[in-house]
Amino acid sequence: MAVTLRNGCSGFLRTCWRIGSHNLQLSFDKPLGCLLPAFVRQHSSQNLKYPPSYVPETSLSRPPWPEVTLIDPEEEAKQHQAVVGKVNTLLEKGDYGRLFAVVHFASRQWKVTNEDLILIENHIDAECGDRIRMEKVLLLGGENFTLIGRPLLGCDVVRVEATVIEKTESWPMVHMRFWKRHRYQRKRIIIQPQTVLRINSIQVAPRLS
Amino acid sequence: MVFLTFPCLIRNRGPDRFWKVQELLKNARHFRGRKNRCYSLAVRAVRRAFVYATKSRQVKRRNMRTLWISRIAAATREYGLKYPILIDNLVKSSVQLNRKVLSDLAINEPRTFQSLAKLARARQQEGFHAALGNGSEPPGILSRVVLLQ
Amino acid sequence: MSSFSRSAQQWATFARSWFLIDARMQPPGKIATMCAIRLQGKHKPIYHALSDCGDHVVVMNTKHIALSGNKWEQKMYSSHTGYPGGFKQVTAAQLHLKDPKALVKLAVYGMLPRNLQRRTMMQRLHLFAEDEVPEDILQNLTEELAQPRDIPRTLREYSQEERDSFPKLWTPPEDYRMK
Repeated sequence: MAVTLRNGCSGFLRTCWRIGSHNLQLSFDKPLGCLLPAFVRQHSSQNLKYPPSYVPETSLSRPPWPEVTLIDPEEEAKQHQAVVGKVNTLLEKGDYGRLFAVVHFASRQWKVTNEDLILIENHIDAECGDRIRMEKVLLLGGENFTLIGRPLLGCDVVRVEATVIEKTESWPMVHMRFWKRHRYQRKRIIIQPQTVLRINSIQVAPRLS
Repeated sequence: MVFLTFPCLIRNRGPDRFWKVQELLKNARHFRGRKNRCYSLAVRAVRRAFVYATKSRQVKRRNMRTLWISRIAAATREYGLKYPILIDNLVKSSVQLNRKVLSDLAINEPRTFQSLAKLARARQQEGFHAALGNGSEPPGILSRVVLLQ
Repeated sequence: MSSFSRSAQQWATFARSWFLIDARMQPPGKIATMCAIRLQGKHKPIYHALSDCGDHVVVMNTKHIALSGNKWEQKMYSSHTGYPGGFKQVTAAQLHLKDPKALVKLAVYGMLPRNLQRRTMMQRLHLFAEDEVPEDILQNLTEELAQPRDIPRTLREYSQEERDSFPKLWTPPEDYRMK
């Protein structure tokens, strides 16, 4: 029994050493050593004195969860600034081609661009010929950039305008319910009011705030 | 109302069966077989067709949603994610685009969809990082991760 | 925009690509899921069940597939000829000996939707028992898919150094007789 225990301990020690050396190799490979959990790094510094030799990989070589690759906040802020600067220059030059936007309107989401016609299954409070502004813009895309709202883009960034063209009715739809062997039969004609809108313009502010 | 003859009085009584039949057969003219001209067969077929049309307005919405989902799933796999992960992480990063728009973006605006996939990926990694904490187990739990330390 | 033509875009969108899968030491079910997705076109964002946007899949080395557990002996493949007493059952091993493509073919066939397009999709599946693929098919190939399962190394493939350094739960005594 004692022999078994001792051997178990030595195996455990060996495992520790293997983890250390394994991650040591990793940190040489990648400069992003900060991704590894803190305890591993301590071990690797302690276990430097062991002679390097090949260690086979087992189920205990690394923790069972997938490795997390997070970029550190400074790097992220730098990337963020670069992206915002690039988009700002594009916006200032007006070099974005034809814009499209995803707007939330009449409890649906619509992907619209200039000169689009959209059909809404209800009447709205505006009269024919009125120009309305769609304020719930979820996403705006140009040729080389996309602005994603979380969930909405600000009113000062995007301006989507539309005109009410027509207020009309749908063709009559038959609503029929029938239960067999129950003498139950109901027939109703449903006519849904409809509105047609024309998207006039999608404008974006010349600078992101 | 004045009727000049007795047969005219008789004909005018009650609803006109001829026009009732024509109204119904109008809906069945494109049917196949005797259903398009025999009233007693047509009435059943038309009723059944109307019931199908009514139910199918709901079914169509359901089918479109499954189609959108399979399209988004296909597009998501191109960027190394899976559909539930994409949707979950987009919701967590409060992007409220629905499936219709997402599948439209996947087909017509692939670069926009790629940026959404990248966003979901980054949010997933952040979630993992937060869940792992500093790499140590909570107190009172003995696992092989603790043994390694 | 003069160089841009809609018809070319259409051709490019609905062009069929050819995938190659190496089935050596792979479970046939996992191979079949990969095949079924690509045969239906479900890996494309333009997927629609009626638009016939599936691709071709070439599977090679179907003779060298791997089944786990006791499936070679106990998994039964049943069929019925339609005549009285025509019910036939063979084990996976017997069927595999008779036709080395049958297991993969049946697995893919079972995973495709049960509709009129099923036979058409099966015609776009090309199975080869060994790794010899005809030249005309090789020229069509566009992509090789990664194998779903890592092929485990046998003990013989490990070097002596690797074997020695593998952690042991206990050290056998000097007089311990290995089986």
